[in-house]
Amino acid sequence: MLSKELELTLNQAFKSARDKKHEFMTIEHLLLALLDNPTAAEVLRACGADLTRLRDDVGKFVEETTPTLAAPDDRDTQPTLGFQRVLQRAVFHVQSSGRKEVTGANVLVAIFSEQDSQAVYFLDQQDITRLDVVNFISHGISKVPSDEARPGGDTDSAGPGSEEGKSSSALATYAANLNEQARLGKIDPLIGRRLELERTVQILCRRRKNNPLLVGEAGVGKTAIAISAVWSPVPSIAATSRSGSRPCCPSSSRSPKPSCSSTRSTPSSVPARPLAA
Amino acid sequence: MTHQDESSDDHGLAVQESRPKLKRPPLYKVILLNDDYTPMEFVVEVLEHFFQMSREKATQIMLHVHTRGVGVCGVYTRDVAETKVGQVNDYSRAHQHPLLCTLEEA
Repeated sequence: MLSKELELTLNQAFKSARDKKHEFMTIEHLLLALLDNPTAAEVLRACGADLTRLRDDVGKFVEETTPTLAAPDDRDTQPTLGFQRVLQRAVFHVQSSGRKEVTGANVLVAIFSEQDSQAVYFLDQQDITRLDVVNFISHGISKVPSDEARPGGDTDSAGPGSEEGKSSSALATYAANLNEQARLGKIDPLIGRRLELERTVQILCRRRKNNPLLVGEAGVGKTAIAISAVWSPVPSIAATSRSGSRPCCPSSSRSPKPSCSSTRSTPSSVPARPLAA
Repeated sequence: MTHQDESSDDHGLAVQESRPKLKRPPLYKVILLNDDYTPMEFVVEVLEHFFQMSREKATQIMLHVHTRGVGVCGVYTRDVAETKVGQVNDYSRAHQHPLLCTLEEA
C-alpha cells in the first residue's frame, strides 16, 4: 500500500517526535520528514521551494509549539487527527485513481487540503500551491525553469523563460532589448521616414504623455519605425531628457505589432502612410 | 486616467497591484463547558492529565468552568487543539461523564 520510501519517512517522523518527547505527531512533523523523502523533495524543488529555508522554518515551529510529555507519563506520542486525515486522504486518492502505491508526493498533495494548517502556511509562504504540485506530478510541468528537475514530459511547455536563470527579470525574459540589438548591428537602417521618425522621437522625449502611437495599415512599417527609433539618436536624447528609460519590444518575432501604445495617458498618434513608390 | 497625475516618476506606466500578504493561520482555544453531572474531581483529573497542569492551576480552571460556564484550557494550533478535544471527549465518554470540550478561534 504505502511505498517503501514513504514508510521509512513516516517512521522517521514518528521516531523524531518520540525522541523529543513530543505529545503529538503533527502535520508539521510530517512535512519536515517529507523533505527527506526523495519523491516529495523532487516535487518541492520543481515548485521552486527553498528546502533549507523550509526545513528551518518548519523545524523551528515544531520545536516551539508542540506540547511535550512530562517525564512520568504513561502516554505515548500520538498522531493528531489532522495527521490521520492527511494520510487517509492520500490513501483514498491513490485507491480511487487505481494506483497501487502511496508515495511522498501523494501525501504532500493531501496536506494542502488541511484547514488553517501551519504546514500549508509554510508552503504558501514559499509560493507553492496545490496546483503547482499536482501539475508537476501529473504532467511534469515545472514551475522553475531547470531541465534536470523534469521527469520526462515535454520540455517545450515551460515557455520562453525556460533557459533563463531565476535571477533574470520578467522584462529581460519577455522583451527584447533593442539597444543591445542596435549595438550588435542587428537593426537595419530605415529609409525615407525622416518626418515620422522625428515626430516619434519628439514624443518620446517629452516629459509627460510620452507614448507615441503608430497608426497605419498592416505592412506600412509601423514596427520598422518603432525599432529604428532606437537606432536613431533617440536613446541618447531620451536618456538625458528622462533618465532610466530603455526601449523594449515584445519579443514575439512572429507577429510584429505596433509596440508603442498607451495604457494610461493620451497617446500621441503618428500617422504612418504608405511610402509613395 | 485619474491616477495620471498622482505619481510623477512612473512615466504613465501601468502598475500591477502586489499580491495580498499571506495571513498566518489562527490559533485555537480549547474550551471546557460546564454541566451538572460531571464531578469536579474528574475535571481536575482531565486537566492534569491532558493539559499537564498542576493541581492548583487545574482546580482554578475547574472552578472557572463551574462558576462562569466555560473555561479555557490552553491555546494550540488547530491540528493539536482538535486532537486534544477529541482525546478529552473520548476519555469523558469512556468514564460515563457528559463533560464537553470544544475549540474556538483564539
